[in-house]
Amino acid sequence: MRLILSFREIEEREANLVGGKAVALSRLSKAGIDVPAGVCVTVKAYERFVERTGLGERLSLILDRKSFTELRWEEIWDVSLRIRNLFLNTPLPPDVKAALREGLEQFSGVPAVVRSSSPSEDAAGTSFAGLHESYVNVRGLDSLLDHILLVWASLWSDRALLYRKELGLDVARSAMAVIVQELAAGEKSGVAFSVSPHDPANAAVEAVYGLNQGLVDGTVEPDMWLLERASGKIVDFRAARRSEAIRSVAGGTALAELPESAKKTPPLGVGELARVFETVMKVEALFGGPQDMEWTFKGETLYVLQARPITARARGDGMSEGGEKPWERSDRRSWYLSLTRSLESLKRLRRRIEEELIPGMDADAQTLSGVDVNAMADRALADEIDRRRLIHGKWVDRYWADLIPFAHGARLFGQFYNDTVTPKDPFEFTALLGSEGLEGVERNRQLSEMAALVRNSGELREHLGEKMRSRRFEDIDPAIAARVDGFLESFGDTAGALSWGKGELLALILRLAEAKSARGGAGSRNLEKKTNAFFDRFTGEERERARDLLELGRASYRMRDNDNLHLARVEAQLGKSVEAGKKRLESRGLEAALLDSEQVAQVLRDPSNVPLVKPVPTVAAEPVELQDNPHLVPEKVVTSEGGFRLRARQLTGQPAGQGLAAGKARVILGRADLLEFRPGEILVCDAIDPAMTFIVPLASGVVERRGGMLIHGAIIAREYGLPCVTGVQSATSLIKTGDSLVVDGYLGIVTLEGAGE
Amino acid sequence: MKKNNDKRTSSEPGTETPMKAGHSAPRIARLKSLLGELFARQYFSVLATQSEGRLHTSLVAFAATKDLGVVLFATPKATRKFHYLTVHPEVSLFVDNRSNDVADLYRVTGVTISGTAEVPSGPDREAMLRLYLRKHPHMEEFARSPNSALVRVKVRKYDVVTEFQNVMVLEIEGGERLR
Repeated sequence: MRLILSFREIEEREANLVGGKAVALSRLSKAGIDVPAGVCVTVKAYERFVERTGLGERLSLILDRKSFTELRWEEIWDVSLRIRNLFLNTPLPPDVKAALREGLEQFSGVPAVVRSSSPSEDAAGTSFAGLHESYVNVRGLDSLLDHILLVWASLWSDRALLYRKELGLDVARSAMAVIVQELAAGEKSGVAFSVSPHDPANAAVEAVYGLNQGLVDGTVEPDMWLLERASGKIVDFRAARRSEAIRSVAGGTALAELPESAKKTPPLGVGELARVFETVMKVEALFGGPQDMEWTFKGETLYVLQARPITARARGDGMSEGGEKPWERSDRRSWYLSLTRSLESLKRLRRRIEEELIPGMDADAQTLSGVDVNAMADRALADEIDRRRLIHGKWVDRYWADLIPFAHGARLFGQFYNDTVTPKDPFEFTALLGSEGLEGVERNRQLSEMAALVRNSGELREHLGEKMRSRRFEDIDPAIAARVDGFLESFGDTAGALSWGKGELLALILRLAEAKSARGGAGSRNLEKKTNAFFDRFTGEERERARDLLELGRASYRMRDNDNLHLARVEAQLGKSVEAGKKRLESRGLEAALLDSEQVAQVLRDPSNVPLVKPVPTVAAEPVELQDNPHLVPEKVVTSEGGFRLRARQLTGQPAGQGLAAGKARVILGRADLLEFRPGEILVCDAIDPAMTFIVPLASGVVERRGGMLIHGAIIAREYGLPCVTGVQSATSLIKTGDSLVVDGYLGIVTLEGAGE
Repeated sequence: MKKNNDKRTSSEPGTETPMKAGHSAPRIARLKSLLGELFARQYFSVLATQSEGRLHTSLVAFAATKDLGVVLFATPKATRKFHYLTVHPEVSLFVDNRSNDVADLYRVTGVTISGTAEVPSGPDREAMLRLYLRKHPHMEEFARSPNSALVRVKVRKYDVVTEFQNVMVLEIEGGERLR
């Protein structure tokens, strides 16, 4: 069986062997339409590789580790990264390698494109396009082989795993074919729809300068024409603000500034537009249905890169459909898909976050903190609560729309690191992300400095103990007073929905001082060395790209932690107004504790109309498309019923921080538990909120219900070198404060030393 | 022995099978139905007995009561397992649904049953025997043979392992329960 077929050799009925994309290219080529010269590496090559290397069994182990209905989107990304790394670390069997090298010889001296052509993608229907990887500007046979491995691995990409049911993904049955083509590095490129998505009488053409990835992922805005299908007459034209183009550079593609002349001229002239239109109509006739065609002009030649039936094309911003917020839809998967973004689009997002969003949040928090809510009359306070709800709601939307997508920066770097370094541990890259600039770590540093002062001075300890007993916090010893005030100034509003009081801070400092010495963060000791060793692997433009990606990864990693603290400051201001309202209502004998902010405002306006407390919806083992709804709380676990008693002996999750720890559990269900935390205890929580990381240096291990390798809990645990297991289902119900735990951060196992064993 | 075997024909990830409880928020009802189904599908169990510091394991055809309070098996009286369990009634049984496939590692459910063995007699024995034979009708001659005993294990707890490393303990409170 030959592993490689040319487009001429592919038969229409062979979609199972080569995938629908390759069949379409073969048909175009046979119909005399220009497509870049290419071949297809059939699914037989994938199958032989997986079978000979025993990869199938190892894939099953990764995929079966946890039931898919219980994986969060971030964990699905982790799974797919592990799989990707497994492919990269598995050498091709010699005969497969020889066959591929021979069949791909014609591409050894030219830049090439390596694209997925998945049979299951077509079986599932065309609405699943774009779930697998494609690589542009690959040079040299060795690099081609590496990229074929990456395309194979993308059969199990995070995006594909989200749609595993629809795709019928199955280790034993699924396989991937790969198209290798010469790169047609066109001067202008675009997309053409033989039927406009908005008007069945018209066709639509979109065009950009350079390669069309920029258009497809939303980085470059296209010029757009509508043409009457019947006549080809232009009925509408919308010019873009042309400024940049995607060009091929060593090792991939990059965004480049357009020359002034191009900025002023649409990418297509009238004659070229007519040719694109005629070609898409011809392609429609060939395939017998409306087509979505990617094209490029290289010199005088118009190449068709891809043609497929028209579907809703996922756009880079994930915001294209209707007015509903994409993260609030019942099926969030299309939003998750939109989180995979290019370097260029993330760099742009970073500027927006650092220059507009974070300063905006801080400015709002600052302004609100200057307003004395207690002095307001009822109606004014109600209005103020509503105003703060709107402001807070606006920032929560920005958080979902911009800050969560920015978290992809660390992932993008991780992928690049794994592609270039191929480490055994797929999460080795996290060591390069560092902790510099993490506000949570800075806050912890200040806390431990104050604790050290108290630890080393019996006098100071005595003095603060006395302050605690008398609950009078004036006249704090000048040895520490300025630090306490400074701390409250910078971090007072970051401890969750409620703010820190001086008493709570002093209690915490005393607690921290009890510990022999709290752990310090790993700091930058080895970071510089590791960073330089990483850069030394590259030269020239590649090195710049590595630098860019690491810089972006670090910013994303920092922001992942810091954004919550900035949002917490706004939330604290909303909280203050709501608390003031509740206090007022309770002083009048009304039951207000369980009312939400909207209801508090309502009762302040009309005290005769006290609304019912809203029920809190619970979250079961909900499928990923419904997860992360901030309004859901974990499902309650029934542990005693009809003469039976249930307890956990051993729970598994993901190994998110290496090491082994044994100690008593402290289960964090509320703020009070945080303040009770004792040195050496194991922190067990639903999800570590960056606002609560101040107790992490006291902990000897971390167990978290929420899963993932790049979540706050995992980040902060690794920073302090703590064993950490994430993704432990029902952790806070099955583990009780005081239980003896062993946390195995190597295997991701938590064992409860049970009674009666 | 072919009917109802728990052989997986599909390995589609994400496909729900009745044997997958694992990480889902463990509820007693969910775990009990998992056990009930496992015990209905599996014919055999490994019995562990002990005496004077020696351990002995043997394969037995077992049945469980619907309320999961009791596990039954039949054995000739002249066997080592019977001798051991009369001397030392604390026993364990292990039931699982492996199919000897590499992928079993995360898919298999394994249950250790811990309890106390006793040998009922009279009408009590007859009721238990009928229950046992409902699952193993072909064992009638064997179970009713004069030298055979029907052993009743009053279950104290189940250690249930799913997904390779998840271990839940289901304990039964109190003594005699309705069958």
